[in-house]
Amino acid sequence: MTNHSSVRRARLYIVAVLCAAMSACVTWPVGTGEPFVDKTKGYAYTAPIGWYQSPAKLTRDKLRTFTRDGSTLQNIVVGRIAHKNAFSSIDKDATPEMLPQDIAENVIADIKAFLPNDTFTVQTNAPATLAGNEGVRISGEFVSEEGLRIRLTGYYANTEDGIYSAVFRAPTLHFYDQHIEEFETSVRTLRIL
Amino acid sequence: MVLAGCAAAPTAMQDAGDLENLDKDEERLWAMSDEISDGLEKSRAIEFDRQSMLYLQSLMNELFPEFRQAIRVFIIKNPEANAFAMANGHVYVHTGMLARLRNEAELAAVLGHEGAHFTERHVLERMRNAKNMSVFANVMGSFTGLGGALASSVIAASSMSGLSQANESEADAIGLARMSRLGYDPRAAAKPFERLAQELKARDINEPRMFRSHPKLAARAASLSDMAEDFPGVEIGEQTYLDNVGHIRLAALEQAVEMNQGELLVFLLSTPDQMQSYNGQAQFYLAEGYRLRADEGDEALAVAAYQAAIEAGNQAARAHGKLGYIAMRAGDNEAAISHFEESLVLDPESPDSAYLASYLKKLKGDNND
Repeated sequence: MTNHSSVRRARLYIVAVLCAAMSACVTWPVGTGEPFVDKTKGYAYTAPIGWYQSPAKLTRDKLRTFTRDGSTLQNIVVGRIAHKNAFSSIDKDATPEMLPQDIAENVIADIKAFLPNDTFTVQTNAPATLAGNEGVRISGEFVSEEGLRIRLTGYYANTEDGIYSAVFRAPTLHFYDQHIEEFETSVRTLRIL
Repeated sequence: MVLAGCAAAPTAMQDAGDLENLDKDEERLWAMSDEISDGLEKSRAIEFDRQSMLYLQSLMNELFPEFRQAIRVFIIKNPEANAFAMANGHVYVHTGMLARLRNEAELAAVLGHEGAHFTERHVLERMRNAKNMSVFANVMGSFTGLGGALASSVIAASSMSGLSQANESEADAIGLARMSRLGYDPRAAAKPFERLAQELKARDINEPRMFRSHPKLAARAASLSDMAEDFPGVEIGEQTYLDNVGHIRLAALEQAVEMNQGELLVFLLSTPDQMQSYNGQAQFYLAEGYRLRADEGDEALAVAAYQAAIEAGNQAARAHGKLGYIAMRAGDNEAAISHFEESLVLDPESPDSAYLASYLKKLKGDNND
């Protein structure tokens, strides 16, 4: 598992570098209040106005990233995660039968396993709705490898087709508080098609 | 490269005064170690529990009185078994290691071993013998878990990632001598290794790659038992140990729950002597272990263990919540409502209370329909 983790991290790093390199050449569309529609994944989401949308489908599950000033300063990641290997850091699949509390439990374990030195502290974990589906809202904080406190708030809802999620992440100092309301407003625009 | 392989072993330190005269490469090693230590200690990984930190530090000071202040002990919040020493004298012990140790004599053996790695300058020796710095950097990473190695490695179990068999044997011998001098039973030193070997087998984990060039756990335990014959000592200190770190051992179980490690919890708690070492406070965590492991038949075992926890008054609110959840999934709404209500009466602020309230609202709505 250790080797898998290291390989996965190395791959993610390479992908991140490649994406950063690519992003220099590709325009990131800026949000104008029109919804972004992913017909393949079956959802529509309207990012805050003035936020940029990642042009490439960067990950296995083709999640979309939105940011205003750069991904390290604040980002919202939206998409649908397949049940298969949904919690990859703990090598666990999700199932359509999982209730919101199961999803929350596994999301937290997955985040803890992924982050260095298990620094993720859960601040709130409660039922919520996402795109009209029963789901969860999890908020917590971790310390990055650079020693920066990062706060994360995510909504997750399990469906027959996978787990829909919208996750906002930003440094605790200044950036989280500056944008959390924009995120909360934008989450309410998520629609399953 | 050939010359590097022949580098002479550094001289062992005699006391903290030797820290005034470090070679240039050792100073660089300290700088690297300090950087890693800073990262760890500023992260949320460290358990800053005053009672247990003082307890471990006091024992280390007794084991190595001439290095008082030079060796500093920290506890890392991680349910896996590990303890390791950095070149700068910072020794880290996982909560998971404390959960597996049973008494002060075993703790003295672990601290004595780690302290010896520092006083004998084993990491410096490893660096001087490394074929290149990138290999050594990997070793440093494995010491600290940077890159994820620590979080997922049960074996880290040894403190010995990257060090030679000779280093380990030397640290074992010094650790035994130091613990024996304080009157601890040296036969206790082998016990953690025996249990770790059992754990690897039970959890179907191969001994990690690092052990290919190191004594296997079983051999290590046998070697420690043999060496123990040469040292006196009878003190075990079980109650003192549990009085000082009992709450940290329970915290390790909670961390295992948060990390979804059902198999680990079941291993740690499924025998009467293991359960007894938690003084009747771990029944709930055994139930959580069965629920999270979710093998065939585990749900029934979880239900029985939750009921036992309730009878023992051990986290009864949370146990009721879990029983209600299991009943709800099975379609027994009446039992589910009863358990949820009981849970909320016992502890309206429990971590699951928001979920329980939402289930109750839904179930009562369903029943009214």
